[in-house]
Amino acid sequence: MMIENFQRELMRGSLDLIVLSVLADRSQYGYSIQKQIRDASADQVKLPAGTLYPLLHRLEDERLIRSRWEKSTGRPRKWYEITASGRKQLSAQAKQWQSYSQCVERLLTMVGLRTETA
Amino acid sequence: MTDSEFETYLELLGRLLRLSPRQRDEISQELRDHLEQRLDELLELGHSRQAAVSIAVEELGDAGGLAANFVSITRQKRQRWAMRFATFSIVGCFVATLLIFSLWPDQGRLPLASRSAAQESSIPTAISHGDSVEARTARTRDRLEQTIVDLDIQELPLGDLLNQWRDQYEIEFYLADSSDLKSETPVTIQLRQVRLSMAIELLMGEHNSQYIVRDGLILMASVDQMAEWGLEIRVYNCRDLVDNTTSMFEYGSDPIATPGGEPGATDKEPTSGKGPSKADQLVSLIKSVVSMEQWEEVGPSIVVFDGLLVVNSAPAVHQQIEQLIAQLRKVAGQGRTATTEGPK
Repeated sequence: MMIENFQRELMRGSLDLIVLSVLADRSQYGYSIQKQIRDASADQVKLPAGTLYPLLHRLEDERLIRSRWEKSTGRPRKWYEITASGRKQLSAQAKQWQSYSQCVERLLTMVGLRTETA
Repeated sequence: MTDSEFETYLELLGRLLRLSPRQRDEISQELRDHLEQRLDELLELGHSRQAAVSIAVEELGDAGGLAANFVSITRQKRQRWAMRFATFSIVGCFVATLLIFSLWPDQGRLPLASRSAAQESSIPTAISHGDSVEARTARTRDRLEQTIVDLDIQELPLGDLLNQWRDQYEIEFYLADSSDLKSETPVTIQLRQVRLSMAIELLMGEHNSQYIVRDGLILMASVDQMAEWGLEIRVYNCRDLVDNTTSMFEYGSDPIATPGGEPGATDKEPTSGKGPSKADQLVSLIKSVVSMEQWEEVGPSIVVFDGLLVVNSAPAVHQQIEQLIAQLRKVAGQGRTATTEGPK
C-alpha cells in the first residue's frame, strides 16, 4: 500500500516532465501520448485518461504546449505540440530531475541498496 | 454507431462542466475521440463490445470528478489573470502617482482630487491620461455602446455568458465574487436589439450589482463591494453645459432636505437669485437621473463651482454621471473639443 502511494506521489511530481518529454519529438494527440507513456514504461506508468486530459489543458493554459484540430482521420482530433516555453521548462525540469535522482542514487549506494549501475 | 454508446457519459460530463459552450464542445469532442480509439484497441485485444465500452468509460473515471478537474483549471487560469491584473494595476497606479508627483509644479502638494482618491479608494484608478489605458477604456466603452445584442438565456452561469462575450466582442471582464454575484450565478434574460451596455446594466440590476469600465476592463461587483472599494473624487468640466453664474452648493453631504421635496435636495437658493441657474439645473438633473438608492448607499456629494462639477462618489455613480453628461453634449450638438476649452 505504501509502495503504491510512493509510486503515485512520484508520478504526480513528474507528470509535466513526462508529458513534455513525450511531446518533445513530435506532435501527438491525447490517446497517443497515453499509449507512448505506457509502452515506454513497459506498462509501469499508466496515466489515466481522466488525469491526462485536464493535465494537457493546464499545460496549454500555461502556454507550455499548444493545440490544433485536424479532421484528416474522419473525426475531429486535437493534436498537441510543445512550445518554445515548454522546451525551456522541459530542459529545466530534466536537469532538476537528473540532479535529484543522482542524489538519491548516491544515498542508496552508500547503504548498499543500489541494484543497478548508473 | 459508437457515438451513441458514449453519449450518455459525455452528455453528463457536458452538463457538469460549468464552462462556455465552446469549451464544453471541444472537451466532449476530444474525449469522444479518445473513447473510440480505446474501444478499437480493446476490441482488438479480444474484449466483447459491451465490456470494451465499459472499460473505456471506466478509465476516464467519474464524470463529476473529471468535470471538476477541468473547471478547476479554468478557475486557476482566471485567478492567475486576476492576480496579474491586480499586480499590474497596483504597479501602474504607483508609477502613475510617482510620475504625477514628479511632474506636478508644486511637488510638495498633490492636487486635492488625486490625494483624496488615493486615500479613499482601494481599487485601481486610471490616473494617467492620453495613454494606451485611456485608449483601451475608450474602445471598451465604444463596444458597449455600439454593440447591439439579442439575448435569450435561461439559467446560464454568469461565467459562461461572460466567456461568450469575451470571445465574441473581445472585451475583458473582471468579476468580483460576492453572495450577490459570482461566476456560478445562473442568469436568465430575454432582450432583443439592445445595446450591450444596457444588457449588462439590467443584468447587474437583477443581482443587486453594478459595473464600471476601468483600464479597459469591465469590472462587475455587488453594490456593497463597489461601496467598499470606496469613494473617489472626479472633476467634470461642464462649463459648456452651464452658464457662468458662480453657484456653489453641496448635495448629499448636507443632510438637510427640502420639506416635501426631492430627498437630499439642497435648501440653498442659487446665488443669482433669479431662479435656478443652469448649474443648479444640471445638478438637479443628475440627482433625478442617477438612482437615489445609489446616492444614499455610497454617500456621494456634488459641488458645482464656476462650471466645474466636483463629485465625490463610488465608481458606478461616476460612470452614470459620465454617460449622462456625454448624452447631454450629444443632444446639445456640442463636441468634446468645446468641453475641454470652456470659457476663460
